[in-house]
Amino acid sequence: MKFVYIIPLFLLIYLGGCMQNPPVVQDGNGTLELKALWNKSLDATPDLAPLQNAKVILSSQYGIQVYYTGSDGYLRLSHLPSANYNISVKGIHPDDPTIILVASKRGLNIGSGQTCTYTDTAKPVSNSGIAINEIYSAGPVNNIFYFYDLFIELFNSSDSVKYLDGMQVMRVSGTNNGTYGPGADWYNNGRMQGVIYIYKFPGRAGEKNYPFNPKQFLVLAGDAVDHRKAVSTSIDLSHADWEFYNQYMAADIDNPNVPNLINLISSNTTKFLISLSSDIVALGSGVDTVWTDGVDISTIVDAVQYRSNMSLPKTLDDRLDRGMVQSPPRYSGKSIQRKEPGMDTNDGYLDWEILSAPTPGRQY
Amino acid sequence: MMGISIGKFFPHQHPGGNINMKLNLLIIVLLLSVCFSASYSQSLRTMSMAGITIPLKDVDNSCNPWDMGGNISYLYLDETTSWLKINPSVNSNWGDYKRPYDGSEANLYGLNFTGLKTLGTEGTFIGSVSYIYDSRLNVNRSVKYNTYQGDAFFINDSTSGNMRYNGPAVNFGYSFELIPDLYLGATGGYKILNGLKSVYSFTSSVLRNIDGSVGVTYRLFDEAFISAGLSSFNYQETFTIELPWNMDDQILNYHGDTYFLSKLGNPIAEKIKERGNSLNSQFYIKPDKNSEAGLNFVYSNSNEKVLFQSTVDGNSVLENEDGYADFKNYLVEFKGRYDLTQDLTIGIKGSWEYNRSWSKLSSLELLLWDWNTHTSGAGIGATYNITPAFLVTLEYNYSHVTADSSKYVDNHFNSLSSDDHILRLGGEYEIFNKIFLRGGGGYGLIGKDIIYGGSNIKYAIGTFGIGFNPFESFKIDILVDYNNYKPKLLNYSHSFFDGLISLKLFNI
Repeated sequence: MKFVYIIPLFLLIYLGGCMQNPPVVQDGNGTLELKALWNKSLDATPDLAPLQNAKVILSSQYGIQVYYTGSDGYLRLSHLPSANYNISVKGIHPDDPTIILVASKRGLNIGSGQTCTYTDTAKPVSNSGIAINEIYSAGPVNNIFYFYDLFIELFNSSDSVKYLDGMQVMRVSGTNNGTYGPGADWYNNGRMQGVIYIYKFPGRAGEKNYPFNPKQFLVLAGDAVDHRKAVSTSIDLSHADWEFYNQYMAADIDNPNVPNLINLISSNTTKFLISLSSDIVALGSGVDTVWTDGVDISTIVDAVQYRSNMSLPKTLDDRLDRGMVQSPPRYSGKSIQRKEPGMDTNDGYLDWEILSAPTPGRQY
Repeated sequence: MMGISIGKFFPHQHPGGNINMKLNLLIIVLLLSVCFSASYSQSLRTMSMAGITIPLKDVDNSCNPWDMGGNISYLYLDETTSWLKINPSVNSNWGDYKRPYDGSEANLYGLNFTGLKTLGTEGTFIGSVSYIYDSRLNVNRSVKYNTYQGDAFFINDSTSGNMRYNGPAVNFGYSFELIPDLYLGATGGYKILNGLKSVYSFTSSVLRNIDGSVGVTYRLFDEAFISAGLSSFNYQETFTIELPWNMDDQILNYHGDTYFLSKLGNPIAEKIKERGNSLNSQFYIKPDKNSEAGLNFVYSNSNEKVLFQSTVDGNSVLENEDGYADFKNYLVEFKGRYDLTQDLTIGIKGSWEYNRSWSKLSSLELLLWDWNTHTSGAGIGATYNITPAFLVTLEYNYSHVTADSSKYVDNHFNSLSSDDHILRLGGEYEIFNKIFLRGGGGYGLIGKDIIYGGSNIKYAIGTFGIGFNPFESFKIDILVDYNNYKPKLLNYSHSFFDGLISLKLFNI
């Protein structure tokens, strides 16, 4: 008869084997209260005013959402999923639309049931003038491994004419030294290591033969040809402003109608290429012409590290950029671009976004 | 899963067999039951008459534990003649009244062989082999086989494309009398399907399902039986999201309807694991040849896990649980049938069902979605033999559904109730000796459609069938049916078509 008493126990174990109790805390219950201000004072005494209609970019593991502050500079977002958020606020200076006011916050953890309050004073972006604005290296949608339609776009966000003479475009993806990776200051001497390609504009730094006008985009094409003839999903770069040309290569493509950046490393006899999904691109002023001992960080105008796997550590020196950029999938036909033309807060996480299609020579 | 089709002739009692041998069989049955089970199916004859089941007497539509509750232990009492069935089938559905991740059309082709062998006092064996080809057209983004099964997790890519699944399924069951008036049985089933999306993200999947059940029936007195059963299933769907060329693939793991995690790589490996247990019990009584009644109770619980797999050199090394969903179901149903006169049979049915499910984000132990439904149903019907060769049958079903959904992660909260009415009319006419024409139609109004989301749904069904049974050695049944759902105020609809043929060979 004892067997009879075992039956209910067996049933309980059998049927309860799949059971769990639901969590008592619900997701989608976080709140962010954001107040964006700017200092309109012209002297040392702060005079804070609401930053009206500022663009608020909220990024997390769930992607990017865009909102705007109200006329009081206030934004309240409720029912947010629990996540670690990066916040970027961008507004136009009310008195001078050429000035962009920026505030940012990284690593804001919003848990369920929590209300996070974030108040920040946006500061004018101090642009040197020239920045890397868009990188397209993922390749078009294709199945023949075609990825030669790459380009790098520059933007002059200043109000003055800049000059490209002697400036250098570098690919920085050399091997690490066991401690540091490419783009880092390996020897703590203020020099970035890991450069494997250097292409330069004609002339020397300080000369003024190649002007770069204010608010102008410049497209530097790997090959300045119409790539749609090779792959229909590709793009036309035959009207690019500049072309990377390796004079040490036996037969690099050269569009005679497009001026060239030329290769400074004679041992490099291959085409100018950058990785489809993980690489560092840097723009140097050209003042440091001796690259074998590294490139003086102070002479680097802009640098960007993009990666497909954002869980891997960043290797680029923080002085060049504090963040990384999520790259689009390989052969996806997508590019990465600064969210605002030329705007560089020195944090790739916040400054860049993925575009569904490249936009050479213009902002999406 | 393709079900085992069970035929039935005259209820028959088997005498008890050798006890020692039966105990050995019991051990085997219990072992098998851990992993296997079979399913049961409706008769093509009743399906041909608008799917009427309450007042219509049929060898496969009794109120007994096997026909009503699928309890394998009653198979020994239910089936007394050996047979073999060959069942080719096609099931299609299409239409623009659909959910966001549904395809525009789905076609399921199946070929099923089912054999039943009576072994006298040694029991009754049933087994089936099926092959399935499941083609889904323009599936929007989802790469899951069961996209909408009540959990908060969708596994999506960025394209609409065709998906096809194909593979075999094997089921078997065995039932015998252990000691006089005590009957045992067990079933087992195994199914494996290979799936492929033929455009980006080129997701391939392998679906594997193992199920099993064990049942016991005890004769209380004369024609009164009480049964109980346990069943389990273990399901796994393995995704390999991999492009055939050297570029990154992308998959989006949705938590709810709004938020998703994006994964890049080539390949990306993910897995869904489900397992569940069920307890069922039946009571069946047949006081005389003019009446019968059955009661069926089912309790089941199951869970689903969405797992991210890490791979090194192509080998899976770690599984991280992204999401977890829990499901519970209670069902109580009653069906009774009574012959008022020699030509008039009436039937009634009542049911109550409760479903509850919740989903959580496993890493943070946060509740994403919690929902439940209550369904109370009642039905009544009558069958009248106008002449010995002409039968008409009528059935009305009413159900009241209440549903509560709290989708916390999306901040969507919803409560609804629905009153649903369906009226069906069917008939069977013997045009020649043992050659039957069957047909039926029905019309229904569904207040709120908790599956597709519409309101005031008009439901229509039309069926047609042929029964060809002039020979002793075989019979053929053919069924075609058409169902349509259409919201009253919208110009959208969804249609279903089924075509089935059953060739049944006797005395094999």
